[in-house]
Amino acid sequence: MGGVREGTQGLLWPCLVDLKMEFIDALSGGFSSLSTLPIALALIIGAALGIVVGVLPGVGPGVTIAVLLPFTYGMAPLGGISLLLGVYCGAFYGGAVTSILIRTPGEASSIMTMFDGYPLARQGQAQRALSLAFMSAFVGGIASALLLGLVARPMASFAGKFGAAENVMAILLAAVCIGKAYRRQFPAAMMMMGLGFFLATVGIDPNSNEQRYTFGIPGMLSGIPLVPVAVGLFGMAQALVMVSSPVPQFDSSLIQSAGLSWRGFLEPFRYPKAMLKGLFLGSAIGVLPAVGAALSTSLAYFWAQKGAKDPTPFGQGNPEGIVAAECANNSNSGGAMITVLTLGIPGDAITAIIMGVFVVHGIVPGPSLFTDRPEIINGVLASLLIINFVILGLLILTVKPLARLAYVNPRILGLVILVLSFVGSYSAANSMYYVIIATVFGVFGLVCARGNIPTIPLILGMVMGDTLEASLRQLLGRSDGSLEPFVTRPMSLTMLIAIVVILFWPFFMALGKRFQRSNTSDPS
Amino acid sequence: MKPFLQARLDSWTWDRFFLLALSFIAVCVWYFSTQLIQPYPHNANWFESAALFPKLSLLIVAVAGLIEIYQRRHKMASGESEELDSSAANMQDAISMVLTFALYMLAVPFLGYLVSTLIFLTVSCWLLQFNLRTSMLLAITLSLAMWVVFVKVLKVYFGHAWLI
Repeated sequence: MGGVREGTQGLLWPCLVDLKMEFIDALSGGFSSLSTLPIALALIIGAALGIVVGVLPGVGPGVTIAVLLPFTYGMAPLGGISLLLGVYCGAFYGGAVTSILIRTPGEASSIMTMFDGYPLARQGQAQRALSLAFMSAFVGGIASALLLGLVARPMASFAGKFGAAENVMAILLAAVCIGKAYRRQFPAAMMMMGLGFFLATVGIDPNSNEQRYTFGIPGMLSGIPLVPVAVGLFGMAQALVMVSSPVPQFDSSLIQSAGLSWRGFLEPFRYPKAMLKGLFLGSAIGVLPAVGAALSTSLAYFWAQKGAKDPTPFGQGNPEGIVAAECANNSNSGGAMITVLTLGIPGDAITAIIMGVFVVHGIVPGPSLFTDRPEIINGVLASLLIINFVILGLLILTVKPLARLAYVNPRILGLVILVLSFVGSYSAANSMYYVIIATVFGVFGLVCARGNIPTIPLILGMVMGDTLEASLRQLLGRSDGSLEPFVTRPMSLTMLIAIVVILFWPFFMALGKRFQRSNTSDPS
Repeated sequence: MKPFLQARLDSWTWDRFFLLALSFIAVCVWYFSTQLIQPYPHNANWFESAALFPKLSLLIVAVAGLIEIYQRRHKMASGESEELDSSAANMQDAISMVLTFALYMLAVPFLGYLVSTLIFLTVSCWLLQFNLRTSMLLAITLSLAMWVVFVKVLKVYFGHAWLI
């Protein structure tokens, strides 16, 4: 027995050492990639902007990233990615400020922080609540960046074995997961996903040079570009909602009490269980496509209630509620980037737009990126680590004036976003055609929002559509139209089974219940 | 039969008509694909055809749309996702802003970026009933800032116009 254990350790230890060395090499490579002034500046500006948009009422990271996307064209790829990652992570921190001080979550994922953060602030402990939230988010962010560094490379080498069949199945699995995340709106989400797939096909077909659905419009020969669609759906639609909604009223008495306390910074470490629960759920759910941070924070919050160390009831200022929710919230970022970098499948709308930076610069996310452009992978890893330090530093310096941003009238912000959407979409190609597309999709986004029809799947479909079509045609071309490779290749078959199970799960559950009921009603 | 159909249609909310319109457009585009793909690959194998993937996508749009319409006979619960919440938005205000934005888009090539932005912001502030001081401050500072940053610093070229 001891021999077996020694043998296992003998095999495992060199692997772990290799992994550690690889990780350290990647990290040092990443730091050197970030050491140029423009990239470092982009990172700092992104982080600062992220915090600001997290605090500003109604403006989320999605809007900001969509509007900023065209401006990353002229930047180095890593600079653009760092800028957008800064906004993405910064908003997680900023969202907690308004949740705690004015009971208005900056982001959907900050709702759980509000439940215990606001009562704590009402009890005169706003500084403690903010410190708890920021430090927990910091731990979550660092842990998720480390996870990305440790998991991404082995996962990419695994994904490198994927052929066309596996690629098709992986994207279909992601599409079904995205749809299922919308629960009862599954058909609407799939409809939008299908629309995204279709929009990705418009333009000249790269294989046969046929013009597809261009309606003779010259601008459409190059297809429907992702940038104006993202600007329209996320920037303009949001701006239109902001300018046409009444200004929210809130109790601003606690804004003056914004600040931080060193004791509060160390407090999250007194609740390691809550922290680990948040970290585990945030990272795991971050990897799943489209499920998003909101679900992970609520699950972590409810899980933390079981076996909580602090006797304060949850919802009345229990610090463990804040710790679990914020850890889960910020540990999503690394998880969401894992699928983008290793599979080329975005986890949510924001990572889909960040993926747009890769596409714009002709970089194909996926396993080959690890060998073709390791500096990008290492740079993303190092960025995620540094961003969290930069954000925490900025928050320590600016939290008091930052909290006052909550006073800004959302209608004014809406107007600013509209003007930025115009120049953002125009400057992507110096073309009014892009502004027209942005406007059309802005109105479409507004109508969909009014009708409770999801639009995020449309963007995800557009991003994944090209790869899905290319892989499908490659596979069918090789197999002379036979669908057999989907079931003869083990990985593809596994994913196919997963798709079927996810799709038909409600039926299986209903069947199980009926079977159980018939068993209990029949005494024989 | 007719009153039954009438009653059914009367109970339909506009979003179901919108979904129906999207599904109908998808079916039409699917049907007319032979004309909308130029030149249409009539002789290509089905699995090599450039029409295969777009047609499959359109099929998803149409079928999923019809299922959604059927499912919407019950009131839809709003999603817990990060989707945009427009429940408090005043649609009249939103439509007037869209129209103003469309005019702004048309004005830029003729009046120039700075002047068009200034007019757009002034009109928008008036539509949104901001007070005069806020309107003037916002319109002048924002349009000037945008012009300096994008036209002068980042060199975004908006073409020749009558004004600046």
